[in-house]
Amino acid sequence: MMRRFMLSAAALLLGSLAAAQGVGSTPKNIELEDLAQTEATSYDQFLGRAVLLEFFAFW
Amino acid sequence: MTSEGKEKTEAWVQGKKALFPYGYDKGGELMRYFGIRGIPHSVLLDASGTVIWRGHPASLRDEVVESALAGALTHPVYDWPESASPVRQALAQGQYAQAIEAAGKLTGEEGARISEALRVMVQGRLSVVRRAFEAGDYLGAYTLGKRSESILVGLDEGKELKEMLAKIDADPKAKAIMKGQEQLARLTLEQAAVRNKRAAQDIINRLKDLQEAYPDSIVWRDSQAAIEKMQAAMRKLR
Repeated sequence: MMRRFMLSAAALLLGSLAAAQGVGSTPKNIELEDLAQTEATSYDQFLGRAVLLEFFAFW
Repeated sequence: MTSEGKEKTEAWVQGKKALFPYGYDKGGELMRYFGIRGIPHSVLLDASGTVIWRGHPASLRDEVVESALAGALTHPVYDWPESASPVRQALAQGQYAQAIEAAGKLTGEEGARISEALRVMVQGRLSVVRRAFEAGDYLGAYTLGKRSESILVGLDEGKELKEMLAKIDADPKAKAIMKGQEQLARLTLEQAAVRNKRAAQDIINRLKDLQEAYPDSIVWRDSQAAIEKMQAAMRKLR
């Protein structure tokens, strides 16, 4: 049976770096309009939280 | 988030019974900011607002999410009372020690909840570095530690973090392993661009060389994972 290895933090971090520019940056002034399904009224109010921004559309 | 119109989006969200918060990136400004050319595309930011990962949502790994959640607030600021605005301000400036001090001045159950959320946040940021350090993942510990160094200034956790970083700096073995991890990162970059079996075999050989140079270390283990990934990809190459 093939052994599986959990990747180290470095491999994950550097793997992300390999995949895309912008990793490690701290974007300022993220603005989102008409937030829904949350009590937050602006992006700033997610301060201190981990946030996954998913860009999506539907056809 | 989406740049689509409100009417269609609301119908779509309801139809999918999606529960996540969403908002509108009017005119696609944020998409342009991140240079996103294809969707779906996700960007993961940790509690300090730093981008720690981006890519196709299906390729996001649990370990990356865990590292983002370590050190994140359990009690969101939009739930905080007005009296907590000095805490919020200090936090927004990345001054965790001042935020904890200001939270200590809040009274009642709410104050205790905010203080606890901040303590969990600070300990989480340290624990993710400690975990990497103890696993011999010195480059991971160093990268994550440097990211938290300035915001933990003035706290006991900040002192422990500084000691850990100093230990890495002073340990020749740790420094050597970091060098190996950096070599592996460069190979990972090349690995992503491989288009034929010959190039894939070359990468595998170099990964094996790296394993020989760094036996019984995180470099060996991560190289093994990279070899297995390359071998799997090789089957589809010519």
